[in-house]
Amino acid sequence: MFLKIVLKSLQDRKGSVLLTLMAMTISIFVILGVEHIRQQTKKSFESTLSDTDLVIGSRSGSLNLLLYSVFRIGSPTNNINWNSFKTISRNSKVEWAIPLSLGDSHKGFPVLGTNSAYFKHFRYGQKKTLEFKAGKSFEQIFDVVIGSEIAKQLKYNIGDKIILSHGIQKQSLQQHDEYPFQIVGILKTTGTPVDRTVHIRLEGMEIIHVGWQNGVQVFKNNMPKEQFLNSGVEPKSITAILVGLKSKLATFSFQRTINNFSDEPLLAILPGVALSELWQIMSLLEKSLLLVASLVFVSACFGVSAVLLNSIRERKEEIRLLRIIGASPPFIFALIDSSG
Amino acid sequence: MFLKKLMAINLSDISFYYKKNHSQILKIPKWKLASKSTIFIQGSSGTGKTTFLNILCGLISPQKGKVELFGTQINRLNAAQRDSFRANNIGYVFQQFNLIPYLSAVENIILASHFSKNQNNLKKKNALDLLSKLDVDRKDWHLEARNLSVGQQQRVAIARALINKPKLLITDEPTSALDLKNRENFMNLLMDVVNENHITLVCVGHDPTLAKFFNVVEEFSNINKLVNEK
Repeated sequence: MFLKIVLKSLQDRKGSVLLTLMAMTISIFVILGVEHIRQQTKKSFESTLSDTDLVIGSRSGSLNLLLYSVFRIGSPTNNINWNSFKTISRNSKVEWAIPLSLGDSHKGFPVLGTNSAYFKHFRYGQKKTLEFKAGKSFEQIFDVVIGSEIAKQLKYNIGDKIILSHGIQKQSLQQHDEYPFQIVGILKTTGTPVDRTVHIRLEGMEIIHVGWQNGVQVFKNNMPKEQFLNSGVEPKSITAILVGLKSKLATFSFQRTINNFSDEPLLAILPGVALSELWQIMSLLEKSLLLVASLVFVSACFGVSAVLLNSIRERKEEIRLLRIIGASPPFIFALIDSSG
Repeated sequence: MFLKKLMAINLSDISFYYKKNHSQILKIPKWKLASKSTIFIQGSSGTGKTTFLNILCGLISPQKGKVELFGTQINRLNAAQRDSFRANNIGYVFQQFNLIPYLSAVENIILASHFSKNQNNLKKKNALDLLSKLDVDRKDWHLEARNLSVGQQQRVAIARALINKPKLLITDEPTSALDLKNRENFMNLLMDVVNENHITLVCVGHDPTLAKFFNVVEEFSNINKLVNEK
């Protein structure tokens, strides 16, 4: 009997019931959504880089270095001399070192110059290695490996030729069009900035910049590219180094060594520490999001209360009637409660 | 003991006031009504008639005094006991809003029997019997109550009030929403079922033309002594 009345009563006030339901649903959806986004962001944030003990760059701020080298956000830091890389990678405490050279782009996606150590040692998430969806790692100087999102957005396939642009602006006017690159590999989706990165060899990076000084093309390099292929080009400078150490215990002492590097001013950061620092900055945003979501929820609650109060006022006669025929207050409360 | 049993209503020393402003509404030193009598209580509005009826059916309790119905002192019962006493012993017909608008006539009647102890499988049959006895058109039985005419609604209201075979029927200006012709019909019908079922009927109202249907007529000012003091 009770259920029957509740259903009939709900049917009777379809409109307001539906609106209330929608308001509640949306507000709960917003709360859950914000919470979900927050956790996902944090997770993907923390999984950007894994198993790397130190990130080394030229001396700037630790956040700047992290943002630029790992997230490809912000302005480029100064470069590191190639010789410093050689010194560091030969250090007995170092197990592996990945050189990173940034600064160019392709249709808004950052170009990263690196070497084969990148595909071997780079880890993200739970110490996952990069895997190829198609093709293989770069071998030739003008080979390129692209992240999954680039392939998807620009509809690239293995064998396509692409031209890189100078600088990191999306609408760069200066093209490295003398030397087109060929796509030889497409990486699997990682959920990290790697998906949006164009990977080329350091040597390729160096060659396309022959004739460039301080970001301006001084003369046109007309050397045929075949000439470079076996000429043993060596890069002069890179942007940052990811370092894995043989023993985690050595991390701090090696960090100190780098920070006191005598050849040039360098900065070594612990990516975990810098990441959590960065997350703390983000937490303000996170908190305001949560606040907005709770406000939405509170306002929806008020809305529902208002609707309930209104319905009680509207149904005063009904309630009086139910009382007269012997319905107990709990019965009426339950009725109003469940049929809103 | 014997006398008490004959009394349908026995009030003594009742006083009721609203807590908010301490304004007293009712003061009834003594009032009795014999069982199976039909009484028309006449009085103008704002004299506490509705409060009086609410006390009679146990919806509210007076701050002071004794409310006895058929030998049971209902203001001594707890809330749940009062609710069930009301469901089993008292039928009520208002001026309007007697039915839950989104339920059909039959459902309204069955709902009323839902709260009484006479739970049986004949609920629906009893409801239909009552409706046909009260001349409610068969085609209206399953219509939503809000779609019935006022006259029909009042008849369904009587059916609803009678489904639990109450000993006491309280009506609060039951005819004021009806036109003259419907009023006569309604009152005749009401008196018929009341006499047939040996029900005590208390009717309040301000329409003196109703007086002829009742065997007792009383001024409310004779019951509530506060009316004259004011």
